[in-house]
Amino acid sequence: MGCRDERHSDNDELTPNDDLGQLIRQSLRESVERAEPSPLAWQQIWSRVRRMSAAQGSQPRPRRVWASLAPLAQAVVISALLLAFGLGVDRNAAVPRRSLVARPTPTAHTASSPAERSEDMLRRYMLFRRQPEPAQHQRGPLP
Amino acid sequence: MSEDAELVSRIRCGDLGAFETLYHKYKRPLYQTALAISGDAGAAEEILQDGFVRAYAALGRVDASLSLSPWLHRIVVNLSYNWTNRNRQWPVALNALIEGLTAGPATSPEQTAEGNALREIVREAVASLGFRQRVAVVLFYLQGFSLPEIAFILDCPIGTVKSRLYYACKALRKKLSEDRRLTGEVAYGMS
Repeated sequence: MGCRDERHSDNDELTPNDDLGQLIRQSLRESVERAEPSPLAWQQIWSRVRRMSAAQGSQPRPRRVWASLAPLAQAVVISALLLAFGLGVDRNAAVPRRSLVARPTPTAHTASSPAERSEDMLRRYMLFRRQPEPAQHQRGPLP
Repeated sequence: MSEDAELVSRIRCGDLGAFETLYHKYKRPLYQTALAISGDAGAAEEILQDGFVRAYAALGRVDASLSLSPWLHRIVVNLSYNWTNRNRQWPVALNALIEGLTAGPATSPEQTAEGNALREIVREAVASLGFRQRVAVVLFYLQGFSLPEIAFILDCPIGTVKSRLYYACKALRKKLSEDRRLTGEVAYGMS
């Protein structure tokens, strides 16, 4: 880093080589010039980087597959929602409301042949005959 | 192809030996920067470790045609900023650290004591600066980065770097001129 001293001459406004600049530079450099990280620092970095590279080496493929499928899945879901919404709107516009639908009134008329009609009349007559006659109030003395 | 570019290319191919070479090339300036900013040897080592791990993870995105030093310093400065925000008692730690480090080549006991006292006063003054001004002073005076390089490291315009250095020097000059421990001769030279 000492080679950068020449660059300071380009920064005229700061005048780093005046008394104050020299004093600051000298003081800071002397305070840290013999400072070095411990050998343990590299061991820690090494183990962390190894773990990181091992994790990246074993897991990237599934992540990439999911990452590539995610936009496709999003597109499918969105298009399905849009389609459903569009169909719903179309159906609502095309199909009349239930209250406006004209439906025939249900009737009890049924088609029947003349033979069936005569049997029916006979059955009604027989049924009428079986019914007891209403009691008649007779005037006069009891027998 | 520069040495850094070749190292980056090898690291991208999975060569961890190249990463070790990169570490040994930059460990001292990065550690010293972190130490000068944080004032704590343990914190500086932690910042260095985190910085290199982050650098390894981000090496795929770096422009290998340029020097890696400003880029690595940018990572370290950002981590130092995080650490400083968590631990604001660093000037005390810095003083304790300086006590252990300042034992330069002695000429005479009087001169040694005077030089140490002067350096300690200067370092105290630097330590009293705000984080941004302190970082600018460390990068400019300790590491000798140019203004454009500091602007890249701090992610700010060059004019901002100049402004921070200007006001840092102004504050340092004022502190040193007002310090009673300095002799009249030195104090006069500062003002």
